Amino acid sequence: MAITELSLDSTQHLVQRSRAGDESAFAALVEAHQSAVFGTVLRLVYDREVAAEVSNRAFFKAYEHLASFDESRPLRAWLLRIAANEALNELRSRRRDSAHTLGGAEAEIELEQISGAPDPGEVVSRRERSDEIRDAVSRLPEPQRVAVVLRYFADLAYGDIAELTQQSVNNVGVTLLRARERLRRDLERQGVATDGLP
Amino acid sequence: MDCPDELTLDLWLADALPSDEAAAVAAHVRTCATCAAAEGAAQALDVELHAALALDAEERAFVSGLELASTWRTSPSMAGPSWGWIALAAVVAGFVAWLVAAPTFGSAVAVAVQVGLVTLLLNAALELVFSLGQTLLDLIRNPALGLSQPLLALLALALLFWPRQLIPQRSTHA
Repeated sequence: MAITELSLDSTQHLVQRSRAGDESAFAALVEAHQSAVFGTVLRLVYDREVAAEVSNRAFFKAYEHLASFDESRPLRAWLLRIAANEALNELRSRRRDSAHTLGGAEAEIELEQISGAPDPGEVVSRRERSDEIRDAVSRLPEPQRVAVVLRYFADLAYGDIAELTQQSVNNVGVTLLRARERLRRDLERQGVATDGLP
Repeated sequence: MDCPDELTLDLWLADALPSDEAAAVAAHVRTCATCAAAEGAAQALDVELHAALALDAEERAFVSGLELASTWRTSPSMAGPSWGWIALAAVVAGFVAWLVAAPTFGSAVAVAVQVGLVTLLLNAALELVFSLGQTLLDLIRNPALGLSQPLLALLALALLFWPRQLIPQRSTHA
């Protein structure tokens, strides 16, 4: 059974056991956070195989540096910061266009139909709009894309994003405002409705 | 309080404002229809971007199949060879081998080095002789090619430096 959520107590307990060298305890932490870590990396590098490799590397690095983890802060944000850092290093070292992995719309629709989604047409149009937004995000300049992914996928606080990207909290706000403005213009050019965007 | 600017409103929504400033913005938004609408739009956008960026079914299936919990130990950073250490080990091994072998095979190594040096010199000398021979052969086979260009160059130089007074001048007198 996949672990999706861990209580604060069990997380702290697993961290302490991992620090003592218990690899099975760390494996449990990996299982709990693998979707968030993999997803963050995937949204930054746009290649599943590379994202898997980078996620592996990020978890290994986290295990190596577990002693420096401040237990008073959330483990998830710490792991995601390591993962995002690794993804950015990967992007810097590669600097090449990767094939986008935005497929899977049909599978998503099928799944939603099985689970009782009301209107297949509505699901298709929602899926298409999501794809358009993802495509538009992938076209953002790197600093804006990183901020958007860290905020809207990884759900990191502005302070965490600021620390990771080495800028002030205000600058993170400005970067996100500009990113949303650019997304709106890009989506308008593609003919996608932009009600929610500024 | 006047309507906060877009950045302040955004920072307030993200809980990134100092508490006193956040309280002032919250109080204003409660009484301002324009700011309340902007807050609603920003929250709707938040939801939409979260939904658009979330992993889809196929991606979720992919990450489940990765089994990162059992593969994280085999990170390339751990499994990959450290070339620096390998190079250092090779140098040390070579030095040790030389130390061990030198007393035993010293004279043989010296002879080999001498033979090697003589071979190199002989090779260089032969190459020089052969290249000279090849040049001479080329000249014999096609002397025009080999000689015309240097002769033309000499002629050009001669014309350049030839004393002008020796060249007959046209008389301008009637």
